[in-house]
Amino acid sequence: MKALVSVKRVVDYNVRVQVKSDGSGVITEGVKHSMNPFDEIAMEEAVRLKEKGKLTEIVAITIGGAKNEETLRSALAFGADRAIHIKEEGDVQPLTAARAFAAALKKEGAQVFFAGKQAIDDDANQTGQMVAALLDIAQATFASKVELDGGKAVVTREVDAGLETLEVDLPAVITTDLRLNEPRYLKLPDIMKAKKKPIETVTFADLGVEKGAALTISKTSAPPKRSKGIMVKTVDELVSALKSKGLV
Amino acid sequence: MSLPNYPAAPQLQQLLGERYVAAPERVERYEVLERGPRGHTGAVLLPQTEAEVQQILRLCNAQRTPLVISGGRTGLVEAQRPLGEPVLSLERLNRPLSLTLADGREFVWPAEAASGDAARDALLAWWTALGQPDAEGATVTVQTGLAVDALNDLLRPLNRMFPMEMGSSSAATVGACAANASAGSNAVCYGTSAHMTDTAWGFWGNGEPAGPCRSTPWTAPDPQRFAINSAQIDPAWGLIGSQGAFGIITRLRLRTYAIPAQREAALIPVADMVGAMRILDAARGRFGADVEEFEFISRSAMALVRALHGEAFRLPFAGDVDSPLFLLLQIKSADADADLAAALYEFLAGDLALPDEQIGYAPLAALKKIRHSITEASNARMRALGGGRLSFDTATPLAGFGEYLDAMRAELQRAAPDTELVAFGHAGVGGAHLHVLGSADRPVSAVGKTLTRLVIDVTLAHGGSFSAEHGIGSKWADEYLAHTPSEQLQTIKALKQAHDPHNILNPRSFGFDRLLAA
Repeated sequence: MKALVSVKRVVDYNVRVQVKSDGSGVITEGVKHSMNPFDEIAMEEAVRLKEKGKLTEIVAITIGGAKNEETLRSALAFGADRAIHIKEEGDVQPLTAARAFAAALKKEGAQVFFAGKQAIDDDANQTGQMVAALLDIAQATFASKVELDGGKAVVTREVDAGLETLEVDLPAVITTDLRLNEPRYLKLPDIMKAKKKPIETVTFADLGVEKGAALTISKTSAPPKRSKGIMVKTVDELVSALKSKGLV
Repeated sequence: MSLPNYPAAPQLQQLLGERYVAAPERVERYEVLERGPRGHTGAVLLPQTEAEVQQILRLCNAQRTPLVISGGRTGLVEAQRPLGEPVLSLERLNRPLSLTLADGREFVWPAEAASGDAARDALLAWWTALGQPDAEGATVTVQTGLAVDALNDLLRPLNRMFPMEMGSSSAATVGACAANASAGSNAVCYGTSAHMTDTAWGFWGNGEPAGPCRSTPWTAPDPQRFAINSAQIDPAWGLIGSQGAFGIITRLRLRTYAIPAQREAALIPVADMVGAMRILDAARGRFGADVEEFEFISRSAMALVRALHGEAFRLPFAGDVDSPLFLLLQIKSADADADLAAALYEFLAGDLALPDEQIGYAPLAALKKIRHSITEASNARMRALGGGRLSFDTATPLAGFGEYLDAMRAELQRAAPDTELVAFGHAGVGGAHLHVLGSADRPVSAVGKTLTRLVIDVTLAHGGSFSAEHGIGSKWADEYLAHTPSEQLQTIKALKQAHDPHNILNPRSFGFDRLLAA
């Protein structure tokens, strides 16, 4: 059974993101990038399933400019068998990405599409769901446990009320949540070996996808400043303060 | 409220009002040290201006009231332990004052945005309005009591840092670091906090203004000389690095450093420190000033960290690698696009011919967690064993550090086989932290004097210093007086007599109480 795993290059989670002075976005030049942490979890899960004999091939896929090749190299170091780079300079919105992934999934004949539940750059949390909708296949999002069994996947997901377990027919989209696993440390020798592996390059045109712009980002700004807190001495004072702000 | 029996107590209370603290429940935390026996005091003084510091010193000189100085309360040599004296805490002098770019453009923090998010946002807004220029060469002027982490929170948006990396950076203050020439785990790259300090101002112990005091930027040390040695004060630096012996730093202009665009690190097993120091030479040869950290961790230290973190601990090797010592090598690059991982691998697998399974590679944060957990792990082990701990902080010139540490480990093992030795430290600057842990059956108190004698003898025999970077304080005053050449003692005695003739400041540090009486 083959799995396609999407991996996105994002500003490293340790970097404190700065808004550009003109408010057109955040500063990404000269800043360390790495694989979206939720996608690392997706990669780890795919590798574990392969180690258990539940998958036979893992294909990593990404969309973006030349620098995104690094992210695919990381995926290969994780244990992906192949890597596909959908080359596209410039921003790609979730719907376009989903169309490209859906086309690639179809072309590859993969049974599972793994993706992080969201990317930490735009926190859109849309692509996985859109892939499922475009292909009219099942989706199991926010997975905290994944079991593959023949033509089905049993996925546990964390919901407000507790844990929900879904059984979905394959092919399916599975998006991964934080507690699914703890990704392994990549070994430096594996990273080096991954640099020598071939990467297949395709374009949107090759996949029959037209780049769209359904969203317009009108402004990017830093989070609002937190106002100074107040100290209250009694519960009554607390209730009174909350009431005065219309919060209770 | 009855006043403690300090001669200057009434005037001090009048000067400081409610910032003269005598309530036992508020004073208590100034009596408890990070390490060492508890002290006792009747009052804590909390000046909030430099002028108040000067007035306190003048009053205390007039009334011959000694003081103990308190910064972030992270010191490890008992300098801040009061034995009846009032504690002068600099914690209220914690404001950032100004940031100056290399071209002279200056931002002055307004009083209403002098701390926390507001201070950071005000600086960022100013920098953004300028078009976010390169801040290379920028200096930042701050009050002495600003914590290291708090300063870095301000600088980070400008991609700058004050690179004092240590476990206590949330509490340690920049003024105390500069006064003590503290060395972080990245001292091999940036030097001590004294080197990071461009200029310091303050007051001598007699209350006279001190400064501008200037240090020199860090350069790679001559291997035959000490890179760090807090048993030797450089009189030319004035307040900087003088450990509060002659005066108090109240304000500092600090150098800022670019936050590297990339960092990579690896854990390397080595058989001995002599071999480790050869690796340092090789790393320097390949990466030059981009060797950002070069730390050593003994097998026992690693075992304690593993025990501390339990199942969450992951040693970053393919198998279960065991080794007498591990090195943490960290390199950096200003180029976000450089293939730093490849460069590291070429060094490890190529230059050092390490087999792949001996290369301990993990995300930087995971490796740093190991290094910065050692003290906590040692504390936990000490509590579990119940036999106390002897702590040493020693240094030698780099050229002899490998032989020294191997000899020290062997000597301690021979002399006290029933104790546990936890060794770690700043191999890149020839600094070692040695923790000797006793057990309930064999407490270190029974062998404390013998082992202390041994450590000092072995250290001195290798041309080393019994105080690398923690300072002298009162903990090492006896050793300081016993092992410092008489001409050096005369020099610091003359400085003390010139600047603090009544021994008002930290009176037992360096053994000044005895040195001045002699």
